Amino acid sequence: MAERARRDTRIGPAIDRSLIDRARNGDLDAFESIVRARMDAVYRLTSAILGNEADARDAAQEAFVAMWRQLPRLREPERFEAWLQRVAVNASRMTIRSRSRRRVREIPSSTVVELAERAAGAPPDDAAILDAALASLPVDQRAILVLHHLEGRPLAELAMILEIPEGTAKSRLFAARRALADAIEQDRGDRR
Amino acid sequence: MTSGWEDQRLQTAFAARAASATRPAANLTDLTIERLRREPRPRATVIQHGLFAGLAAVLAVVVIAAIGIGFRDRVPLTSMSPSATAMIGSAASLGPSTGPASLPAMSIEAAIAMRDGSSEPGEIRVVGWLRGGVPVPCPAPMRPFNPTQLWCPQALPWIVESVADSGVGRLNEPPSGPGIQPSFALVDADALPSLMFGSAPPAAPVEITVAGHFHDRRATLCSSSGACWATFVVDRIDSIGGIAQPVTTSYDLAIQAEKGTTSSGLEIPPPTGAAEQFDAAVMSQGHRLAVLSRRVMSIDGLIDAEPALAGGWTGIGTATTVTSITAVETEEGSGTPHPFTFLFPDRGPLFYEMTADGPVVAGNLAVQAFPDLVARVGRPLTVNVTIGHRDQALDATELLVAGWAWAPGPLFCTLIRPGEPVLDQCPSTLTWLADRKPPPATGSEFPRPDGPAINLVIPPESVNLARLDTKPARVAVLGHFDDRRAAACPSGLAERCRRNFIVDEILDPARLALEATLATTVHPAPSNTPKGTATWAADTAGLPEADRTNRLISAFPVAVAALGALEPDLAGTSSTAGLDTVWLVHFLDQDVAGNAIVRTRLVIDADPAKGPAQVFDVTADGMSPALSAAP
Repeated sequence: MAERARRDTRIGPAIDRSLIDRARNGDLDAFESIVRARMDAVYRLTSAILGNEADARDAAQEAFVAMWRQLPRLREPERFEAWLQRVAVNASRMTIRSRSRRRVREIPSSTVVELAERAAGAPPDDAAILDAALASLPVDQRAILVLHHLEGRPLAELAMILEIPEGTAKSRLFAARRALADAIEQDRGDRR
Repeated sequence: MTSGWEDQRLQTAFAARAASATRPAANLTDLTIERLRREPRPRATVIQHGLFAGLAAVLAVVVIAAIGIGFRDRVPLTSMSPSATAMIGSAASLGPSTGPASLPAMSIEAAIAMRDGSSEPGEIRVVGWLRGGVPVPCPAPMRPFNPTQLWCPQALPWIVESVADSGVGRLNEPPSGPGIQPSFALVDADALPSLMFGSAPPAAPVEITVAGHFHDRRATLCSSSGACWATFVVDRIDSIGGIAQPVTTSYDLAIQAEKGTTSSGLEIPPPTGAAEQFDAAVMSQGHRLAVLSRRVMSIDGLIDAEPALAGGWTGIGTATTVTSITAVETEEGSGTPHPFTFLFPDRGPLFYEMTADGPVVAGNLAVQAFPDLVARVGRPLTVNVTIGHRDQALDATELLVAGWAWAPGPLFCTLIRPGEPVLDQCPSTLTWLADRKPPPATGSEFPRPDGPAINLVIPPESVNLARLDTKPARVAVLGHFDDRRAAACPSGLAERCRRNFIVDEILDPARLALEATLATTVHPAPSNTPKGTATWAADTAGLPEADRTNRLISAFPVAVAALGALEPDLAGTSSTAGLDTVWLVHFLDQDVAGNAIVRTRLVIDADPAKGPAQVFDVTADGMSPALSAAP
């Protein structure tokens, strides 16, 4: 907890405020610098939420395009980092919604191997259990769990990023934790 | 709460999961920046609109009131022209599926947020208040036109969020709150009141609901550097002042004004029938398409509406008029509803779906010329419906599915399991059938579907009947789920194989027919020389020549040594021991419930001159002697 509290809201080296202001005024060079500085962080977030490389890539790209379009209307540039994460979460949400609507099943060859290993009884580690459980949760629950447990955002920052009251963030996090527990239990039952 | 998954364990697991995830591809940043460079600059502010109004006034050469000939379509709110638009049909008379009522209705502010948050041309209904244009002097319109390009926007109406902004347009005074300037270029807008500056204010604010979309495909052809993607292209005026409006047919100027000539001086014969005669063809495309509007155009009008055709279009043939029908998908599960535009050249049998890259054949009005296949397997389904079939009623019924298909092209696939004809593996995992044409792929990536899509698994027996290009094309795919060979898939994957869509043949959507000649000639001969012929094998399997059209899918010889690649269960069995060559005959038949299915018969190769050959049914249980060779 203490470690989490020490973390900064930023998700990388600070971005110069003048760069943000230039980008807000339509300076694409300035925005490109922001893209280069924040691509890894945004991809890490979308990847953690979506659990799929191709989707994470699409969502990260969509997030930056949305930022570019919406940047002139960013009212509080000093909260740029929180806004950036919010846009990335929204892009993930849009991506997974469109994917689930499509019910597309793209099966990479690695999945074949993974399924074969699972069938062979290889014990899954915590990351694999978490991965499977997260996949069954709604995207909003995945997002709040990722922001809290991976990105280390305390409740106040969750509230800021998700634009919800702190009390709501707390109850949503609680509900997401409970849903995750249920999913882990369900997955455990399926493996037996 | 997490039964042993306390905070620390959860955090560690999240960190491990993130560490094991792939890093972003090295070129992701570059691809993103490349895409951003193609994006328009963030939208102009209202202040810039005001500046533009002043600039336009200085440059004025023609007053708006004079903009009539050749441009009336694009500025329909001028009061100079009497209505010449015919109202044909109505939402009520065309049944429940023709109204866009299922589209989400949203406020102007929400529509703007959607516009800026996505690049999809999602069809929406927007509710707002009408605000008139201002009769500022405008330069004469110049070709090429583009429905997404708002010519002289100061003179055009707004739809605004706040009732306080509504009413008669005000000079140099943009709306104080959220507002959009729609393009009414493709619909009949004569029913809208004229609220031009200087006119008498209406007794009450006029609330309107319109269906339309941002990010129109024509925006990329915009000649100005303006943000044409941000233009709300109206596909239908849904209601005016709370009064529901019918589905209308509009006519372009050349036809509407009954001038009788195009700009090239040729006479324009009237269309051969009413525009709504094509509604059924549109609806037959699936997606539960609802007609939003129809437009009858001369060639000039067509080019104005579809600037992509300015360079010519051979599909128009000798037609002098073209009917365009815009429809929206209302099928549940299709995702964000997209608008579709279909073009019907007058007197032509073919009709086309208009895409960003030009028209693509969507169907044949003379489909009665190919009744047999449709009678056997039903009309083409959408991919979305096909997915529903898989998820709710998984069986081996033969399905005809229309959509956009593409393959990855020559590809080196690793980890291929040979002898798994119905397992989804590379390149099948990169071979798609989608309801919508996919967006262009970026860089070296393969196109990814946008909307409902399934992978196409093309088994060896269908390879030569299922040619696909890397460029997405409109096709009709004959195939099925729950292939009998799924049971032979590797342990634990049988259920997955059952859910794969196995392709039997890919057809031209304008020619829904199985060609018996193709079925008997398309496969290359095996290395060993068979004694029989394909037509003999088809005959022997119970399909005489008179019965082959639209039933026979393929008849071809296989060296027994290679049989396992097609029929895993038959490889190395006693049934085929000692044989050199067999024939596989695939054909359409019915199951006991009357559903269309594909049957496979195996014919032992023999000299046709030496009497009857042995015939076997190939089923999930293996080979069994065919009781009757005449199904």
